[in-house]
Amino acid sequence: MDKVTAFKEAIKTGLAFASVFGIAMQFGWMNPYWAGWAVAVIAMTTTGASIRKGVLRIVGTIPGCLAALAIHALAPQDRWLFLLLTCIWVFFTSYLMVSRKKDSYLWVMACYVCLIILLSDLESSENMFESAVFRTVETVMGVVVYTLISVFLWPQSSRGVIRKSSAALVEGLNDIVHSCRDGLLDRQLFVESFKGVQSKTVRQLAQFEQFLQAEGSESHEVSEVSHLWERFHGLATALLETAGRWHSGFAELIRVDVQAVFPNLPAYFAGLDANFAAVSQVLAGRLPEDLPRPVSLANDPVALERLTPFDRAAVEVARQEMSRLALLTAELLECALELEGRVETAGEPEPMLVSGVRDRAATFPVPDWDHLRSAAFVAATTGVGFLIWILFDPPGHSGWFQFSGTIALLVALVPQLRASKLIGPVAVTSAVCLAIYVFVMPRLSTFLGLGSLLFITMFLNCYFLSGMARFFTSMAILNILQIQNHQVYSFVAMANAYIFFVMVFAYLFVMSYLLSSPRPEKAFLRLLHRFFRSAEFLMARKAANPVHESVVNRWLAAFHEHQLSSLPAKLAAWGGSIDQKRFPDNTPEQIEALVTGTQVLVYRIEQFLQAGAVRQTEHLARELHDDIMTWHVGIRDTFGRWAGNPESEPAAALAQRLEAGLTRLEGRIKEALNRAGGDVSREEGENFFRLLGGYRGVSEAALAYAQTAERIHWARWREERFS
Amino acid sequence: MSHIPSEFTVGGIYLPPSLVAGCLGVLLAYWTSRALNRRRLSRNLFYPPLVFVAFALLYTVIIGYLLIPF
Repeated sequence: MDKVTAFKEAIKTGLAFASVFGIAMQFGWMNPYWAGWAVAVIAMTTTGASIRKGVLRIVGTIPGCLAALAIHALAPQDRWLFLLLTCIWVFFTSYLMVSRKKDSYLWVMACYVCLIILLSDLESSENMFESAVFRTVETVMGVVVYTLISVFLWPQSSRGVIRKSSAALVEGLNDIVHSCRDGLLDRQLFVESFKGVQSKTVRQLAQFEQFLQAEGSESHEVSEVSHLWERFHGLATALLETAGRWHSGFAELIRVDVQAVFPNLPAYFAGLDANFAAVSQVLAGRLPEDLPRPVSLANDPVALERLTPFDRAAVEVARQEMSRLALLTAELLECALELEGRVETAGEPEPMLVSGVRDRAATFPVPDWDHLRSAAFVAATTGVGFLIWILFDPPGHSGWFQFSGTIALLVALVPQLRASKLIGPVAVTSAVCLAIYVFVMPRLSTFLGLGSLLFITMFLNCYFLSGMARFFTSMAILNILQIQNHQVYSFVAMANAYIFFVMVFAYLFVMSYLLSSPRPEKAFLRLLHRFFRSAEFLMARKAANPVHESVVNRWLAAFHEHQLSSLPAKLAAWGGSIDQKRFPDNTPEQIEALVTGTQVLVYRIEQFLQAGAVRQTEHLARELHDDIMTWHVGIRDTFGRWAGNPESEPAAALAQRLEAGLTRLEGRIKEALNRAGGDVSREEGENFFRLLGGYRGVSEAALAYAQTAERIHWARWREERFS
Repeated sequence: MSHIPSEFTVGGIYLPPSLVAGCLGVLLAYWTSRALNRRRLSRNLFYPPLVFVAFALLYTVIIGYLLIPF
């Protein structure tokens, strides 16, 4: 945002902030700062984004108020039942907050408002309903005032951004395919260039999602077809993942003359380019004269026969990903045509092309372990805060229950955020506001003076600060200035509030140790342990290959598949917060490479799980069953050992074992093929080589991971130290 | 040594001596933990967060006994 826009936005927020206080005080509404909170939080860069956040704030306030009234009705005189019901509600809403990215803010409000209303009047419950009504009314008023100001004063519209963003996304996806093409044809892996384009597209995807929500709130045309834009987003994500899986197998194709194996490779890439070009044209509102023909990929059986079994397996795996890529680009074009109204939608949308692993996992609702931990952290912090209040009653009183629970929500949303790092900013901003409260506010006698003060503080906050700093400054302004209809100045109350704010962050820091260490390197090790436990489970399940599996086992498999696919992103987030000054032996690039290694492992395990099972009835599988099982058990045990200790399997030993295993198996496959003669059908051959490719892919990815892991100073990470 | 609680005033406002001693105790514990981290001595501890709390309490009691009775 340029300086002029930031200046205008700060004026808008300051104006809305002062206005809502004026309105609430004019009508004598309870706690005017509730409306102030609404303005401070929903002030976003575009009108659409602000409207969306405002709507979520209003919608979340209602269940929060209702839950508070219900809890109070069920446990009016029983503190333990009260605590239990509150913690259950906090756990439930926190879990939804961290797991539902789209309406996360709604659940923040449902949790936070419930805590506010529960203790709105400590003397009696008489005014509780009134508090709930005022809270809702003032939130609505705050949202409406800010929306009106942002619509009429220097509006920052999001109209058209979704089109621009989708065009940029298609361009990014095309660049990824070009990068893969260059890597495949030029025999150079171009890992860095691929990674660069990939991370750019990941950012574009996230931006596209934000724009979709923002413009959807502002424009009826966009919200009407939001399901199609969501499908477009889903297809783009699937395309990105497929390209990643395809690219991860290039190392195994290095000895293969791909142009001989796939004679129509130029036509295939030209077809993909034509599809992307057509999507861009359609999104720009121009219908291409001729729609591109379906892209197909055929292999040359003679060239394929000449390959070694492992090269053939690698080709089979690559062919599968390339076919999926062609289908996805065709679907993307179809989706773009539907968006432009060029193709009639026929009832139910077609099922999305995503990996088989995700399809299976989608049939069972599985919890996310980290989300459960985050929800447990918020519920425990609220519960212990309640006990601190009723047993010790330190400065802050009921705030230990209410405020600590609210800030715990923030820590749960961003687990990498250290509560200890927040103590300083909170102490400084609260001290500044305490000085305003003591030295400036008693001199104000009219709303003109108070309104000017509110405008200036919020203007300065919005103009100079952003992100968390802005949030904590808003918190200090609203909580320390404590503007009421009947203003009473009490230095003792505010000094105690100041001490409480600092103490509550120290308390949160202590609570963050309750579930496990919040140190990033420890969290990284913990996630890595879970990653390899899940990988071990899935490999063991594949080896067992059960025909009829119990519901529990299938649920467990879905749980581990979810863990495996979600952990690389979490590892990346924790890896990025490891302090390099404390661990100078490991550069951020090395940690990034380790995370990439886990992502490649996920891709390869997914490919492996999708490959057909070893069927005893098939000739080749029967012949090579024992050799394949030996290999399988070896990979599974390696994952098991890595779960316990990431340095337990040196890369050199693993490479030696892998090479010996590959040579032995290659010889055995040749023998089996010679013995079988023409008995092996085309389908059986394809299935077998796909499975073989899966094994090899997992082994190669594991070896690459081991080589990267060797560079990490694990012992140093495991060492105990003060945070 | 006198055990009458000491009085701290800032601009005419009295601060509880236990608060002042506690803040100083936490500050000293923080510096000690930094020094132990720098010399990699903290790796010999079983659970540093608990040791930090112990340091803070110990320093607070020492300060309370020697400098700021509370």
